[in-house]
Amino acid sequence: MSSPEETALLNSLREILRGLCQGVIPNLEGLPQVQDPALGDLAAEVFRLGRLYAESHAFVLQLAKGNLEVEGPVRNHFAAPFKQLQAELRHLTWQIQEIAKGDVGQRVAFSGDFSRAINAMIEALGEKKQIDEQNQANAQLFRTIFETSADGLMITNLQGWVLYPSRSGMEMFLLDESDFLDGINLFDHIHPGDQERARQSLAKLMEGGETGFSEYRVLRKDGSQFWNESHAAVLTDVHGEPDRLFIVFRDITQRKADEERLKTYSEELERLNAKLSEMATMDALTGVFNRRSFDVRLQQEMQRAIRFGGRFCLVMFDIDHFKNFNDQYGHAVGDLVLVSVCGAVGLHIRQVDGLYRYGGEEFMVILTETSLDQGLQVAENLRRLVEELRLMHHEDALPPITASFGVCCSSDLEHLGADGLVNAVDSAMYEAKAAGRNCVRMAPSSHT
Amino acid sequence: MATTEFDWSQLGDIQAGRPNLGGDTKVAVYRLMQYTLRSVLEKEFGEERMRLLLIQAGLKAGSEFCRNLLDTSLPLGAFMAQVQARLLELSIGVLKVEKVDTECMNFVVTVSEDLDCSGLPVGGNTVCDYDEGFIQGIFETYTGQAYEVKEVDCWSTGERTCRFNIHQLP
Repeated sequence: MSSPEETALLNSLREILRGLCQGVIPNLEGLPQVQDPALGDLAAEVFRLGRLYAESHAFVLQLAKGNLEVEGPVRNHFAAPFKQLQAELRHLTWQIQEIAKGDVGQRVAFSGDFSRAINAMIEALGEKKQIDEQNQANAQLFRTIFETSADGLMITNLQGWVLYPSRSGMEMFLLDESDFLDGINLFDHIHPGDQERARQSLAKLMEGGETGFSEYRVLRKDGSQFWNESHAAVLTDVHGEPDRLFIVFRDITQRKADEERLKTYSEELERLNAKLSEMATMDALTGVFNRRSFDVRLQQEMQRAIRFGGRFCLVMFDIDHFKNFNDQYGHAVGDLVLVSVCGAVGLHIRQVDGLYRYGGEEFMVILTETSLDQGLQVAENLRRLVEELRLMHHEDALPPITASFGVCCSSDLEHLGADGLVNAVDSAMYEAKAAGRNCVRMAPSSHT
Repeated sequence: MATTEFDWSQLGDIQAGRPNLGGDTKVAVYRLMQYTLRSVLEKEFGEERMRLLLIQAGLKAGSEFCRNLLDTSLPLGAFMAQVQARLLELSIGVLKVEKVDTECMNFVVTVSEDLDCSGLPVGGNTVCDYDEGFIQGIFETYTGQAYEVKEVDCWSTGERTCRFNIHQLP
């Protein structure tokens, strides 16, 4: 038979166990003392079980509320797995704090899908961190370029409103920070005469064309003008749509001035070179070719005749009694005679022929692709031309002048060189002198 | 009696020495050595002295481990992540950091699946004395400061994970 105390204890133990099965925290106030030691031991174990459960339950409730700092019960098998979970959560908390500080080397292990999700997030953060670092480096590079570039740099929107100017760019335009309060439009600073061209260039850029470097006149804030060489490129937004312009430009005012000066110098140099060339090949008094040019031309004609089987005539003439004329009327009139004769003869020979002052009052004419008969005819025409010249000096008529002519043909004197031809025509001319002057004589042919 | 100071080279060239069996062995073999040694030391010197000797051995091992296998130039967070990775790589245990007090440089860490104790019969007392010394050795070598490490939870006390309080000594 059980005592009333034992019966009450058994009922109490039954209540505790039933409650535990239903998750009810039992009332464990005071373990009743009973006579039966076995029942007493059993009651003690059930009460201990109840306390372990209660401790564990209280601990888990705190964990469920997110209190990770709660102290877990020790030597409590019910609580052990939850303490392990608490350790996991605390560690995750620390890891996330470390990740937030930038340590993307953290990895979560042994938590299944949760580990994979967190690790994927950490990797994504790591990639973002790399991109952020690269972006920071790029931004620093960008700022450095904008701060140190000697060329002006600007980023504008597509309407030309300046969004980001470089220091040197602001200096070129004489702008300061205050000017940007109301906005700066680049087109307002382009010379009115160049604005249309600038807009056309922008339109071409927007169509995907290349504009290369362009030169514009640009107006500074104070209204002064400078020459500007610029190059523009279209910047796009994240969707690849054009949204800004990047413009690099430099002040080329000095270069323009230098180019202008250089152009003037070049023209002057060209003129001087032409003059020098003329002086080297022309006779300063008469304006016809000089002796040196004759020598060169004679060699060319001879080579051409040999190479192509051609021929040419050499006509030499000397103004008759020129010394007396000079003595009587003076050198100025003598010069007038020389110039007049050259002028007349020069007008009556073909463009392919050449008139040369050989020395003093002696002249040579080279008649290209001309036979001896034709040469003699030309010489006769020239003789008559000289004879018919009527020269005036200070409104006084000068006496008529005449000239003696010698003619030779290269085809009739094939064995002779240049010197030989000159000697032959010189001899013919002196024959004309000996024959009484004002006549034409030909050099004897080597074929006869 | 002359003492032999431990040197990392005493571990030998395992690859050369065990070309077929390699560097790994069974956890049971490790525990066989530790718990027989523990038993002998306890019988020889008593429990307290045995625990102290194991802590000293662990301290030496932790120091050498840190010096030879860890990068002590890393900042704290990265260093702890590195310790965690090394312990995983060597199958020593799953180290997790629960708390860090960077001002006082005090820590609470847990080790699950611990090489020394996980799966042991519950005996009522903590047994990870060697681990206490090992962790102490790592922290002292990394920080250059003296530390005290106390295991507060252990598989052998009925927990599922070992928990260590790590305190920097003044």
